[in-house]
Amino acid sequence: MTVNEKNVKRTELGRLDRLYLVEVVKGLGITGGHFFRNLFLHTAHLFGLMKDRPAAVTIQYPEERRPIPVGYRGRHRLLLREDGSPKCVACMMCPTICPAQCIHIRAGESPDPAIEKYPVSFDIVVDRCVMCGFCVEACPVDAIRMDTGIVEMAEYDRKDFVDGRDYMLSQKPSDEEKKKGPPERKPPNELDKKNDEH
Amino acid sequence: MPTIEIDGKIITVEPGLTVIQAADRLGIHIPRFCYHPGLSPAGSCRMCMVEIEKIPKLQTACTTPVVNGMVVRTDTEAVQDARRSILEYLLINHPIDCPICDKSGECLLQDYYTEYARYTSRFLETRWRKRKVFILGPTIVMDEERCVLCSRCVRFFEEVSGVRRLGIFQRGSEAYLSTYPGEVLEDLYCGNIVDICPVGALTDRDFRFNQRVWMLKRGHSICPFCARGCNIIVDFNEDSDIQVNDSRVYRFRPRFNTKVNDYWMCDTGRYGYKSLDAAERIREPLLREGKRLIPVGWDRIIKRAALRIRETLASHGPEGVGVLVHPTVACETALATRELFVEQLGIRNMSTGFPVDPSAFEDAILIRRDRAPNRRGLEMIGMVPKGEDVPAGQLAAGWATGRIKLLYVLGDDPARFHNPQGPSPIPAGEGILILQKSTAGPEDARARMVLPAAMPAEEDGTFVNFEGRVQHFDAALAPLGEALPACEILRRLGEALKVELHPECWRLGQETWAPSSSS
Repeated sequence: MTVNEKNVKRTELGRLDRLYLVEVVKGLGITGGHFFRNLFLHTAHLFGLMKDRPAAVTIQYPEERRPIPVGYRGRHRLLLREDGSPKCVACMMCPTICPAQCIHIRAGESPDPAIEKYPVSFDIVVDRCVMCGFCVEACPVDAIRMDTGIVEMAEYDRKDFVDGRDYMLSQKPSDEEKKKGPPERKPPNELDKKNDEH
Repeated sequence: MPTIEIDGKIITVEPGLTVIQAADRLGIHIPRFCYHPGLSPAGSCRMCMVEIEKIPKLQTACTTPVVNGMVVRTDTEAVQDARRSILEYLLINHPIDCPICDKSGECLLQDYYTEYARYTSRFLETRWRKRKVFILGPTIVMDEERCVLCSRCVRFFEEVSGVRRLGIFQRGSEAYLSTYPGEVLEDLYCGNIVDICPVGALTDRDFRFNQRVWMLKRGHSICPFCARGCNIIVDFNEDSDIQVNDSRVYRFRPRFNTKVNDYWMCDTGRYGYKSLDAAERIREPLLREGKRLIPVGWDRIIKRAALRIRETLASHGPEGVGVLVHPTVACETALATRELFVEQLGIRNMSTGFPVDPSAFEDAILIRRDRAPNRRGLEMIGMVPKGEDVPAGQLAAGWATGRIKLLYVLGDDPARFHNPQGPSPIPAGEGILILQKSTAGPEDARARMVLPAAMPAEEDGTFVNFEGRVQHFDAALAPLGEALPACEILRRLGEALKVELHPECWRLGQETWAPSSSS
């Protein structure tokens, strides 16, 4: 086997370099420069000045947050119909596809024969979820989305990781998702549209 | 004997058979909706069109009888085209609500659409809307929009159940399936129309929305609710994450056996699946302490039972012990019982349960008056020692008068599953009552120990039906809770009693009773 070799010439240290002291002072200068610049900017920010210049590259979490890109998968939410009932028809496509088996649905008979089937309970065990988004892909009625922008998942109790139906129905899309507007759709089939009117 | 060729394969069949039946024998699946092997051909769906040489037009395979020298092709362009057209026609008014349809996953329309059709609808008119959730009777709910008018259910009631209960009314696109005006669909064999419905038009109100069919596992068993011994499929789900109401079993379905039940089963057996997960099931060994039965481990209860049997044998001899075997136990259990109690311990007071209730309902289709699955099997084994026949009544009398100090009861009372609140056939007695069974009953209040046994779907065994047909079955799923198969309980009891059992005594069943043509 041939190996591509490349000889790198090491920089020879000069006399001043070998003394170290000069280089140490230079380094302290850089660190100190950043320190005083940041100290000044942070103090200025406290008084509401120079807000347009960031004080440090560090994001000041949790006061500042990194913007979440559109399409980033966060905690799930369930969507509502226009009349306020859940869109979900409890078809069990999401528990079927879910690789983590974290979705538990109990189906029930809806009093409205046009809906027929609805979820009596819909639980997602979020700490088991692997955030793959397959449930969103599998849903035939666009009832589940992961666009809440909630990505920090920390709770004091294990049972708080179980998101119930009503909690997920009350969730709203994140601001970034709202700005983007509704997801792009294929133009509706003229025939489907016509049929749906009846 | 006509010899015909289907897709290049040659088969000789008896005259009178139709092309679709010959194709089924060759393993060639011709798509069908209205044809069902258990019913007369109707030729109404036109899905089974095939090309036959020397006949210019396509023919329906379900109504064309075989003729010697016939050459049939089921995969030509013309046949595919006909199938596509029929599917397009059937799907004009179909709601395509597969996500909420209970049949989804075992629906012929769904299967054939994915296999043959896959087109975009060309239909320009408005879709016909019909009744969605239309309750036909206490067990069946109908969706008119999904119905393809194959008339399988209509023919089922005419030809199998014997009473016309459904009909197709109106004509053309206005045709619909319904009961006769003012009638409610009630029949002892109603559940079968759900099985034979090729689409999701008829669904079972009991099974509805509980599970999706692809989540269920299938096991084979024998229905234990009457002497017919219908072959069944047990649909269950052992994954507690997707269970509903902590139930494991969701339905029983008939399994084809031309010698016993054909394609059918009665509703009593069908909804008998509930007994497997019933609240009355005994989940762990129970030992009496004072007035209560408290759950204990298997080791303790087996030791205690062995101790009591030994004590009674020492103080009163074999006459002091009685063994009652209900005809709900499998032949293997009966053989092991005989080995343990009769051959090894010398007990003579043994009987096989109680006589058949002469007032029980019976019909000429499937349901038998005898509600016990294995009475004939116990008779054939000869559970009662020859010449020393102890009728059940005598055993019960001996127990009631106190002559028998210890009574060991195996199996469930067959009447229990049909009438859970019914009286117990075991009279009150002073002695020690040990019950080995699966479901709680009124006699538990007097029992000293209750040993939880598996139900037939949870253990291997052999039943002999009323005609003497020997049917072996395997365990479909694991026993509920701590329950054990009956043979295993007897094995442990024998071990604790320190008696030498024939090492293979429960296997005798399989050797003596070779599996028959069940399945």
